[in-house]
Amino acid sequence: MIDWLVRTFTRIWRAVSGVIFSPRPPAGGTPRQPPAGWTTAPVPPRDTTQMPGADPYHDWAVSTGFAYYGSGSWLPLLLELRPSAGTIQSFGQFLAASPRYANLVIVPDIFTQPSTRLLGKNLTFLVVLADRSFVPAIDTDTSLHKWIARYEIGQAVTVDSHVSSITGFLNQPANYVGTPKAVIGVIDDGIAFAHERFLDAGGQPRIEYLWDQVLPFFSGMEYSKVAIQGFLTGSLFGGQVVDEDDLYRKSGHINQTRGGHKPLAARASHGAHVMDLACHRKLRPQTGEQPIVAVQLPVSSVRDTSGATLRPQIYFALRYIVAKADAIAAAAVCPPPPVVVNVSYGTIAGPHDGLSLFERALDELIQSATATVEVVLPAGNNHLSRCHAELALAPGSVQTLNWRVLPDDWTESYLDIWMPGGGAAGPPVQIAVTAPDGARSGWIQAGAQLQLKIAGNTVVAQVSFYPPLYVGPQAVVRISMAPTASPRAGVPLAMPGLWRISVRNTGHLPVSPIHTWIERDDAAPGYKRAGAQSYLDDPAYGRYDDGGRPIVNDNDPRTINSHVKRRHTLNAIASGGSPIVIGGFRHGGKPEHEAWSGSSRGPALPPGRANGVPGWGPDAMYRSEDSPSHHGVLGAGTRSGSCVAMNGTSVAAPLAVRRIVDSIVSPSPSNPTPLVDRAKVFNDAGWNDPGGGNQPPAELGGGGRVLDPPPRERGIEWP
Amino acid sequence: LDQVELVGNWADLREDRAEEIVTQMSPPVAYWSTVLNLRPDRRKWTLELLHAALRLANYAQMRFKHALACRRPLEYSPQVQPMILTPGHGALPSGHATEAHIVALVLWNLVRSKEPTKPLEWLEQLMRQAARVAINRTVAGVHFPVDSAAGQLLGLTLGAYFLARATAPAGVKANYSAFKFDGTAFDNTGDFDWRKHYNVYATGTSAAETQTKALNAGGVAFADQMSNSPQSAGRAPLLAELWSMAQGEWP
Repeated sequence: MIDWLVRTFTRIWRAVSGVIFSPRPPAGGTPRQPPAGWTTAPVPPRDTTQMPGADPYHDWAVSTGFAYYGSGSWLPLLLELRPSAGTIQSFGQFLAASPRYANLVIVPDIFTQPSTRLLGKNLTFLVVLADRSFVPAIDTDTSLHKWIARYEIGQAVTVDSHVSSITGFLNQPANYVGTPKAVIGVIDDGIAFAHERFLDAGGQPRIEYLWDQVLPFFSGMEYSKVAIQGFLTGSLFGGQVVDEDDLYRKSGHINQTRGGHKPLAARASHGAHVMDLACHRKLRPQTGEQPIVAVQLPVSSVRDTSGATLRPQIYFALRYIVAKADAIAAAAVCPPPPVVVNVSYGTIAGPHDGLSLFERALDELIQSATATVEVVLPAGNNHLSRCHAELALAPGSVQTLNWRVLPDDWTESYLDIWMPGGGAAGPPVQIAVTAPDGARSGWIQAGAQLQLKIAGNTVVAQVSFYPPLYVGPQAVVRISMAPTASPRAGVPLAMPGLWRISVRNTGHLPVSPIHTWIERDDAAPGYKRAGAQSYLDDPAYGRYDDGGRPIVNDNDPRTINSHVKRRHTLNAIASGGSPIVIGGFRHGGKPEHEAWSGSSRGPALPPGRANGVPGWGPDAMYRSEDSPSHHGVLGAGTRSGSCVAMNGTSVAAPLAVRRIVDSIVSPSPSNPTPLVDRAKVFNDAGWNDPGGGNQPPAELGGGGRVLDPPPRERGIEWP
Repeated sequence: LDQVELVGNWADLREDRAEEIVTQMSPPVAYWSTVLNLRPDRRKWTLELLHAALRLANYAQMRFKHALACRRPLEYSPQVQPMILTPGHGALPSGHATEAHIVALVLWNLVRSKEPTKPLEWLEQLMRQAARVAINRTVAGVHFPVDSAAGQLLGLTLGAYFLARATAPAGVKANYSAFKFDGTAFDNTGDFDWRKHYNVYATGTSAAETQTKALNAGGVAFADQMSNSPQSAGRAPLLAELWSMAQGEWP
């Protein structure tokens, strides 16, 4: 009761003080690049009954001339087709027959010729490679509106001889040896395919296929098991030990005449570690029993941790893995085996209702497959990143979000405000933004757009307020910001500092909840930092208690009054109903088995994660930290015999993959039923939770914490 | 200059290699010890012998460095930003590459003179480590890959000469193969890959022939055998004495 009074009073005080004391700093100042000021315009018109829903990045991409999408001329697009329009096959025929698009769009045959477990299913999601000129056509050509419901743009790629390799995706392994009981898929960066941990009992590679989207970019190279075996013997000199430096030089993965990050040149890579945790068995599996199909993501997309450009590649990779699993089954003459895919990636900003393009694509794939396809995602590491706020606006009230954009940020920053739709006209909410130098915009409502331009008429910040149905059922404000620093001259820069975003309720009813998420902008593991993670700077947010321990609960009195929240921080690609989502806990320390402080918390917003599983968040927690002094868990480095520690929910997810695959391949007394859907993983975690009085709530820890495999015993071998 | 580009690309590994780079600034005895144990109380004459080889390498490489006076990477671009202080002498040939390879060759021959059946994987490991020491200087931003290639050839040639002086029987001259480095034949954009210039598993009837075959194995344009090779060198009595004392330290 007192709690409620305090909260209500705080809300009223905030609302009132927002009106009375809302900061009005003097306009002008001495910014590095004098802004030409804010301009207001309507958002580009979009008849959502006819035109496709927008990629949330689309308008910004157009405003900035696709400056942030790389230099290649082809863009991978993740498309959602309207089910009424026809099948993917007929869409492919439509494009091929079109004199305008036949040479501008490539539909990989993986989508037009679905493999066994997807046969006869009317799938609506696909990835195409499109010339840049195709993107504006999606908006303007009515003949395309009939087909395309939504689309999302990936990182531009260079296309050379890729067409043949794309149509070669349906190759089957010749003379498959063994019986596949489960296929493990790994989509990651730095796949150390020569590592001895990925060999089977016969000393053969377990990697049946590796699709390397790096060399050459996107279209990539496909390495079969035979090719990998060839590399292994090609770099075996005299003795028993493969020279992996030499091998990766020969395969082109360590080619220092090319620029850019080479994950396999370093001692540790995300992909080697994750794949080890997902695939390693104490006893090497029999040949062909647990084949791996791995996809190395393109480096430039991994670098962009916003994930904005990664999603088309990941969906393509998933479909590739499923197609290869079916090809393996065909070659082995057996029914399609279960496929368990680990995707240890996550982002922060999104609708969190499971309805985003990528999440719907995942759900469709998992639900349509007639043989098991499970996708395991990490819950996310942004529990304490201050990238989420939740507001409730009383009629007439104003609240201000303080967005701290950091200096020396070489990449764009994005902030989304999602709110209930409120009918076709949008909710009765207005937005105004004040730049760090005091340049204050006017108020805009749904359907309008603000742009901050600098000298030369270049847009460095854009605030687009989309009415409902524009992007999804919620109304959304998308604020896009140029980098604040760049090593190159001539790059338009936004100003670092405190950007104040005022949100005003102009209606007669409360508007709630209004969720804000800042998009991820940190460095991928092993990569040089380019971005800098911006955050919401709320004085009422408490970060640490008096003992210096992080505050992990929104109900803690030191942080309860803040609108910046730890709830609803779940990985923004993990709100769909079908993927298995895994959080992380710390094994040792006191208290034991405590939820790792960074592990993101649900719940997703309705209808996200709705699948009859309680919690609406992660399904289970697996080990992501060994103890307070041993950060992370041990796993393979890039070279055989090396061992490194990595942490976060990225390493908890593959441990879940391992348990799921174990449960399929060799059911044991402690693990009797195959864990082939969310509910089973949830219940399994509940049965196996070590207890101890600090069990995390379901929105944080799902069914419970699973200690399988336990941390390594003393000695060289790790689990 | 294309080689500067390579230095920039290798710089991606600076975080990974920082400890190695700093601890390898002086002769990296501890690193050789990871392959063949060089504990000072058990292997003091071996260490003395290796230091004699290092002194030879040092004097020889400095003559080349001063004569050629090749610029260091930071003189081509302010963005190289080396991790460590760039020495005052020229870049080519790399002293680290020269020294690491002469030590690898001399140490291997010393150990194998006592244990003729010792597997060649030990030499392979020594050579891999020598190459890594050389490459670490590129990662640090003080050497180009081409410096390492030249240093490798110089180190292996000096090593062969050193072995001839140490092991030739009294009054007899021993042959050794001499190589020249032709910088104009080195691909501008070429990286240093030690296997291109050296084959651990080459075999010949004599040390000189083995060396010749090992170096010719790659068939690279810039590493020509000199026209007057093999050369011969006579026994240096003091060095031979040191050699036999060092030999006594190995099983």
